Formats: sequence, C-alpha cells, structure tokens
Amino acid sequence: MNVYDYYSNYSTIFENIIIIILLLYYRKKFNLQEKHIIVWFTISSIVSLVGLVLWMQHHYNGWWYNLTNFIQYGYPGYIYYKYSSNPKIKKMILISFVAVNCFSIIRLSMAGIVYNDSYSTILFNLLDSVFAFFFLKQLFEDVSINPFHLLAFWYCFPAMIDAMCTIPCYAAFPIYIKHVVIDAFFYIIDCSFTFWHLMFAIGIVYTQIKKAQLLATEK
Amino acid sequence: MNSDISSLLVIITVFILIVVLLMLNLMLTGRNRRIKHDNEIMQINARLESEVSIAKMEVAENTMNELSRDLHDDVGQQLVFSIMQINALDKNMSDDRNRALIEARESVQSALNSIRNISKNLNKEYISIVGFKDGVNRLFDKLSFSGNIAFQMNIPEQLKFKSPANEVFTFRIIQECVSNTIKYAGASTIFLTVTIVENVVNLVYEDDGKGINTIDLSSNGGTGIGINNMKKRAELMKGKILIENRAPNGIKVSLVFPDK
Repeated sequence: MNVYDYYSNYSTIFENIIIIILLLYYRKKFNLQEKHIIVWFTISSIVSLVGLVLWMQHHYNGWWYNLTNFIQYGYPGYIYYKYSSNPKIKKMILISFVAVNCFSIIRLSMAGIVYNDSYSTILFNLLDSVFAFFFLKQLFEDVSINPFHLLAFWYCFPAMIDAMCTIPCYAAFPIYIKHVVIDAFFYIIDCSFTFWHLMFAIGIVYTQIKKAQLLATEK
Repeated sequence: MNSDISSLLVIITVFILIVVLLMLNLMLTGRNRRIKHDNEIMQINARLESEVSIAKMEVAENTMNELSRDLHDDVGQQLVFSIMQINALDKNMSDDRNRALIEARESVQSALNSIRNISKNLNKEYISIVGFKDGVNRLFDKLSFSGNIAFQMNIPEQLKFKSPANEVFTFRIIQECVSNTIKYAGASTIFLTVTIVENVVNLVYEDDGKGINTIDLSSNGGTGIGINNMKKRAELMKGKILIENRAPNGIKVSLVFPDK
C-alpha cells in the first residue's frame, strides 16, 4: 500500500476518532442546534464508516449508500427546514426533498439497489448544497449574531463544499461503473471529506472557546 | 481517457471551490456593509436623542428661570407690599389684635423668605453668580434649619468648572440627592466631596439613612423621576453616575464626568 492508500483507508477512521474525543470532551456544553448538528455528523460518520468497512472487506458498497442516501441527505434537509426563518424557503425545502425522495425510490425500483444510483446522489447533493447556501446566507444576514461563533457554520459550510465538489464526481460515476478507474474521483471525495471533518473539529474547539469567553464576560 | 476525465474533474472542482469562496466573500462583505450602516444609524439616533435631551433640559431650565423671575418679581413684590400694608395698620389696637397682626406679619415674612429661596434655587444664573461652592453651602445652610441633619462638605476653595452647563447640572444633581435624603432617607449626616483632577470631576455624595429602596419607590410619586433625571443629566455631561444601595446604612452616589 502506498501513502494515498493508507490515507484513503484510515483517514476517515482517524478523523472520526478525533471528533468523537472532542465531542465527548465538550459533551455537556452543546445547545439544541449543536446537538442536531452532532446527530447529522453521527449519521454521516456511520454511513461512511460502514461503507469503508464494506470496501475494505472487498464487498461492493453501492447498495449501502443507496439505502442510506435518504437519511444521510434527508436529515440535513430537516435541519435546514427547522432553522430556516423564511416560509418560502421552508416550503421549497419540503417540496424538493419529497420530489427527490420519490425520484430516488422510482430510480431504485427501476435500476435495482445493487449499484450506486449516481442520479439520486447528485440530486440529493445539489439540494443539500443549495439549501446550505440559503442557510448560510440567513446566518450572515443576521447582524445580531456572529456566524463564526456558531457550530452550524463550521459544519454546514464544509458540508456545502463537500456536496458541491462531489457533484461532478458522481456525474462521472457511470464511467467508473464501466470499470474505468478515475483516480480524481476518490481524491476529490476523500479530500472534501477530510476538509469537512477538519473544519468541524476546528469549529467545535473555536465555538466552545468563544462561548466560554462570552460567559466569562457576562459574569 | 482516465487522465482526461480526472483533469476535467479536478478543474471543475477547483472552479466550484472558487465560486463557493467568492460567494462566502460576497456574504461577508454584505454583512460588514450592513453592520456599518446599522452602526451609522445608531450613532445618528444617539446624537439625535442626546440633542433632544439637551433641548429638553434647556427648556426645563428656562422654564424654571421664568418661574423664578415670576416668583421674585410678582409674588415676592405682592408679599412685600402686604408686609408694608400690615406695618401701616393702626398701632393703637388692642393687645389681642396687635398680637394677631404681628403673627400675620411674621407669617407673610416667612412666606416671602421661602419664595426668595425657591426663586434662587430655580435660577440657573444663581450658581454662576454666587459660585458652585457657595451655592452648595447656602443650600446646606438653608436645609440645616429644616431638620436635624449634619453636613460634611469637602469642596476645594479654588474649584471652578470650565462648562457653566456642567456646573448647573452638578448642582441640580446635588439638589436632587439632598432632597431625596431629607424627604425619604431619614439620615442624620450627609457627606459631599467634589474634586477636579485633570479636567475630570469626581463627586461623591453619601448619607447614613435607610438606603435606596425607600427613595427609589417613593421618589416623585413612585416613578423614580428624580433618579432618572440625575442619570439623564450625568449622561448629558458624558459622565457616569453610580447609585449604590447600602441599606440600612444609606446610599452612595458617585458621579464622574469630563469637564470640557
């Protein structure tokens, strides 16, 4: 195995361990919104770790991603729906997620569950990145809060980048299915995932430090 | 084919990253612009509020001046005339009537003295004429007659305010403190210290009465207008006022402001 293989196989595990240690360290200091973000991270981690284990055991993991797409991309949709203050955007989130879920179910029933359905994944990623953008826009428009002091920013911003960067990769996925190995596909997905985890880890520490400073000032 | 697609994927991803970073930059710029705009509006509002407050205080001071002049020139003159009339009455009256006349004259004289005192206290020019220390001294002297309160004052002889408005506002704050102490606190001693160091005025007023709760609840009909006026005046002087409750051992009012 070369360096990239080690990185590809173990980086997700290593990153998840660091984040879990941080979450356990600050376990009593999270508010409701942060707990929702942690649930999102947990879902995403379980999906990626099981997918990785299947991959390492030389099992094809496309079916696993097909099944978990609904919750992996649906939960962020729920978070954006819950924390959006604009009724129009709420309505858009609800309608578009229902539509994409229906599309995905139809696709899976037609094409089968074994191979990863890239069309559904692209649509889910597109929705998540668009609504992450609206959510971040809402955070930045509210001048009474500093978005950099919110864990939601540190998770949703890299999540948006991850979702947007993986769209072209999944667009090229049908070529991969035809046994043409595309190196960049894995590089981009791995790097964007590492960036996501790194930002989240920094965000946990940074937001907790800011919270402690604010409490100390209030006292 | 593999390398072509890989290159294309990398180019597209980098392009997306640049677009995302540009969007973030746009959102940050918009946010900063909005914060700046909000701050400007807040500053304008604060300036407007301050100007309105100054105008209100000026109107109040001018009204008090008018009132002072009317009391002195009109009611005062009428009382003086009444005393002269009483003096001119026939002296060959019976003892009973004569005693009643003397009592009436004393009563009118007392009313005249009160009117003159009130008139002086209401007049803002009075402080400028007699000086801050003498004004406070006279205020305390007059109040000494009304109860068993001792005053301990520490104001330097050479104390001089640069701003006449600050001088009047400080005097009004002291008047309000003294008035509250006498009306509600039941104190036996009042301590007052005023110093000016490097153009910063420091005033400390203390009494040994019941504390602030009584004053706060009952001052000016239970609305605390007196204390609010003190705070407003301190704000107008760009100073800070701190009213410390030391119940049951009285209150301490500390006022600090720049005298420019």
